[in-house]
Amino acid sequence: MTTFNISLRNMKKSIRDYAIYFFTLMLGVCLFYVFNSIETQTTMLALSKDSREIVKLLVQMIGAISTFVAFVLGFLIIYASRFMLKRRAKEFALYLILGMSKRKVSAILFVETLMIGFLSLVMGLLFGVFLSQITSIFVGKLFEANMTKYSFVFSAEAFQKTGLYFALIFLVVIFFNTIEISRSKLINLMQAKRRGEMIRGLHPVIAVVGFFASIGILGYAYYLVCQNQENVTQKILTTAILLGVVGTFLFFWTLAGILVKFASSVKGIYYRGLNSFTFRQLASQANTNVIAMSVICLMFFFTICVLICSVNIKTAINGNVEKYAPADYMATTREKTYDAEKMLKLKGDIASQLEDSMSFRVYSGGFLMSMNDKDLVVDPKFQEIKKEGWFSYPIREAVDETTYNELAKYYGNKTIHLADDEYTVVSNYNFTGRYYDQILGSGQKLNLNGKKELKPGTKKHVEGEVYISSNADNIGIVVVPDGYYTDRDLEQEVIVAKYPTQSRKAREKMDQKLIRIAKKDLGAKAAYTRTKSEMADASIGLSAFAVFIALYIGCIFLISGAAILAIKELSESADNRERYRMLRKLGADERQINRALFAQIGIFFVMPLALAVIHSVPGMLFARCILSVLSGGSLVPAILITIVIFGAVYGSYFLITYYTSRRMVRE
Amino acid sequence: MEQLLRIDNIEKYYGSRSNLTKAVDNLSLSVNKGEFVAIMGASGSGKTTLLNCISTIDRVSSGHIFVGNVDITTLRGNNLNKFRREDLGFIFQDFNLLDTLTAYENIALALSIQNEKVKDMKGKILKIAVDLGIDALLHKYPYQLSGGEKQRVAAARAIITRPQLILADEPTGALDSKSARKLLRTMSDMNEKMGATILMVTHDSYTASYAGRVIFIKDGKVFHELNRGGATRKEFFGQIMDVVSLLGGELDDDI
Repeated sequence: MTTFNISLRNMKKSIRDYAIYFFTLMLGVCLFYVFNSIETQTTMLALSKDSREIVKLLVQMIGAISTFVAFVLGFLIIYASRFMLKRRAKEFALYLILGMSKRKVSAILFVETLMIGFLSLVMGLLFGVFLSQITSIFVGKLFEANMTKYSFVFSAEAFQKTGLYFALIFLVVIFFNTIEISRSKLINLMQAKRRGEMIRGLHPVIAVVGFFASIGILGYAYYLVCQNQENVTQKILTTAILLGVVGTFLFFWTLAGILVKFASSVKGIYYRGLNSFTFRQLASQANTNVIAMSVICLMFFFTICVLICSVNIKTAINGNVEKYAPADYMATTREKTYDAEKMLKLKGDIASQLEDSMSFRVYSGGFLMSMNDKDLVVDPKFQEIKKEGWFSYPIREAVDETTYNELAKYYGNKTIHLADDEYTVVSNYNFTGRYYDQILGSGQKLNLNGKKELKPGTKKHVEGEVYISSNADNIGIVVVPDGYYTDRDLEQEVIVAKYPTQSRKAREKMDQKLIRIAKKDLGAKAAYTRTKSEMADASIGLSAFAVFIALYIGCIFLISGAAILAIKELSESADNRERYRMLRKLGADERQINRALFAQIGIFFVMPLALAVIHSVPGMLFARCILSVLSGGSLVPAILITIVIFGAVYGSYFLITYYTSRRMVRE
Repeated sequence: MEQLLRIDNIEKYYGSRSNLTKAVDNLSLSVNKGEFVAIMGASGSGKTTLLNCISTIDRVSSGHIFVGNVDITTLRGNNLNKFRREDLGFIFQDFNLLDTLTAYENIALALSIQNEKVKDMKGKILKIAVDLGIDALLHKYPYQLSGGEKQRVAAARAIITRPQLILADEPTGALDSKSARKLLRTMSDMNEKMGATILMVTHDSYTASYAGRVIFIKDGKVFHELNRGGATRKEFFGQIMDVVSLLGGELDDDI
C-alpha cells in the first residue's frame, strides 16, 4: 500500500475527528480572504474621493493586522494538530511496531496534513468568496455609497495572499509534526493513555477565602471604573485593569474548589443522576485549565467591548454629523494668519454665490481649567497649573453675546441673555460640560485678560455649537457681554453658510467651488475650510474603519478562544472514554450520559464567557462615559450584533465539540 | 430453592458464515437465589463471552437467558439499561472506580443513577461500609487506596443497590494473594450474611474454592460441575484442582 493510500484511508476513517481542526482552518481561511478582499469589494461602489482614501488606509491596516492574524492562526493550527497527533498515537505506534520507518510515518502525516489543508483551503475560500458578496453589501451600507450596479466580487489578490499565508502555515505545521514524530518514543506512543491522575485540589478553606477574595477584588475593580467615572485618573484605570486580571485569575483558580464545595453541600442536586460525576469532571477541568480559562475570559471581554463600541460608533457618528454640523460650509483662517481685508473680500465673494451665509468674530481670551485630585482649578491667565490631574483643558476662545445669539438663531439653538457683568460657557462635550456646571454653579468669578470681573450668568453651561463639526467636540467657548473685548483681542473671523440644494452631487460641486474661493481669497496656506459632506464622509470612514478592524480582531480572538476551549475539551473527552464506559456498565442510560456530557461541555464553555460578559458591563459603562461619541444612541443593536457573532462562532464550536465528544465516548 | 438465573441453550457465534467461531456452544445452566457460583475455564473457553451475555453487554446468537421471570435476551433500549441498573451489580478485574470521585461518592453514584432519594443514601452506604470494613476509607480517593481496598469499595458499590445478581469478572485478577483472600472473604460474607447471589468468573482455582458451586467450561460447553456440599474450603480446593488437572493442567493464559 502506498503512503498516499494509507493517508487517504486514514482521512476517511478519522474525518469526523478532524472536524474541529477543519472548522478552525476553514474559518481562518474564510475570514482571511474576506477581510483582505475589502479593496476589491469597494471598487464597484460609487464612493467619494475621501472615502476612497480611507479605504486605502483601511487596506493597509488590514494588511498589517493580517500578519498578526496569520501568527495566531498558525499557532492555533499547530495546537490542533498536536491534539490530533496525540489522539492517534496508538495508530502511529502500530506503524512503527510493524517496522515502518519514522520517515515513512512522517510522510503519511505529511500527505494527510496536505490533503486536509488543501480541502479546508478550498472550502474556506469558497465560503470566503460567498461571504464577501454579503460583506460588500455591508461595506456599501457602511460607506453610504449607492450600489450603482451589483457585480460578483472576486479578489485575485486576496486569493493569492490567503493561499500564500496558509501554505506557509502548513509548512510550519508539517515541520512541527515531523519533529514531534521523530522525537517520540515508541513506549510513550503505546501508553499514550493518561495515567491515573492525582487530584491536587486546593484546600477547601483556601478555595473559599480565595474565591470570595476574587469576587471582592473584581467588585472593587468594577467600583473603581464605575463609581469614579467623573474623575478616573490614568492611575486608577491601570489599577482597575490590574485588579481585574488578578481577580479573574483568582476566580478561575479557586473555582474548582468552590464548585465541589458548593455543589456537594446541596446534596439533593449533587447526588442526583450523574451530577456528582459531572461536577467532579468540571472541577478537575477547571483545576487544570486555570490559565487558559483566565486568558480566554479576558480575550472575550476585550472582544465584547470592542465589538459593541465599534458597532455603536457607526450608529452614533452618522447621527452626529446632522446634529453637530448645523450649517453646510465653514471658512476661516488658520492660527495667526487673520487679515481683515482678505476676509472682507471672501465675505463678499461667498455672498455672491449664496444667499444664506453669516460671519462672526471670535476673540482670544478664556481660561484654563484643570482637575486636581479633588478640586477644580480655574486660571484665567493660562499659567501652568502645577498638579496635573486626569485632564487640563484650555478654553482659549470667546464670543460676545450678540454674536452668539445671532449664531444660535442661524443654527437653530437656544439664545441666551447676559447682564453687563456676566459670562457663561457654551459647550456640547459631556465630559467637560459637567465641570463647567461646577464652575458656574459655584459662582466662580473671572477677570479675563485682566479686564473687569465677570460673574456667571447661568447656573449651568449652555448646550450649543459655534463651529460646525462631525462630533460633539466643542469643549468650551466663553460668552462675554458685548463690548467686553475690542478689536485688539480679535482672533479671527468665521464664515458659515447653508446650501439651498440637498442633492449630493450639487452639494459636492458647491463644496469644491467654495473651497476654491476661500483658497484664492485668503491664500492657500491660511485658508481653513470645513464642509458637512466632507465631514460626513470622514466620519463614516472613521466608523467603517473602526468597525472593520474591530470585527477582524474580534473574530480572530473569538475563534482562538473557542478553538482552544474546544480542543481542551476534546482531549478531555478522549481521556474520559474509560470513565463513560464504566458509567454505562453501571447501568447509566445513554440519555443520562449525554446529558452529563452536554452539561460538562456546556458549563466549561459558558464559564469564561459568563465572566467576560459580567466584566464587560462595567467596561462598557466606562467606555460610554469616556468615548463621548458612544453616549448617543442605544447600545441594543450593537449588543445584538455581538450576540449574533458570538452565538454563531462559539455555538458552532460548542456543537462540534459536543457531537465529536459524544462519538468519542461511545467508541 | 428459587431459581434466579436460567440459561437455556444459548449460542454465541463470531465471524461470518464461512468462518464461524462458536464462543458459546449450546450451553445451559442455572443459578439459584442465594448461591455463590464460580465459572472456571481457560482463556478462550467462552467464560467471558458467557458473562457478557448475562450482563447484556453482548447479545446471544440463539437461546434464552431468564433472570427471575424476565427473558433478558428480548430486552431493548431503556428496558435493558433499567435491567442492568436495577437487577445487576458488577465487580470488575480492574476495579472500574471513577478516579475523580471519593469512595463514598463512587458508591453513591450507583444509587443516584437509580434516582434513589438522597436522604436515604447516607444510612445505606454507611451500613454497607461497616459490613465490608471500608468505613474508614469512605472519604478517600481511589488513588489513595490499595488494590484490595479499591476492590472492596467496588464490591460495596455492586451490592448497595440490592441487585438480584452480582456478576464478578476475575475479581482477584489484579490483587496480591493477601488482598485477594480478604476480598474473597468479603464476597463470602456478602453471600452468606446479606444473601447476595453471586456469579463469578475466574481461572484461578483458589478463588473458585470460595464459591459454593463451581462450573467448568471448555470450548463453550459445560464440562463439569462441582458442589461444595459439606466440604471445607481446603477440601473443595483439592477437588477443584483434580478437575483442573483433568482439564489439562493449569487454567492459565499461557497454555
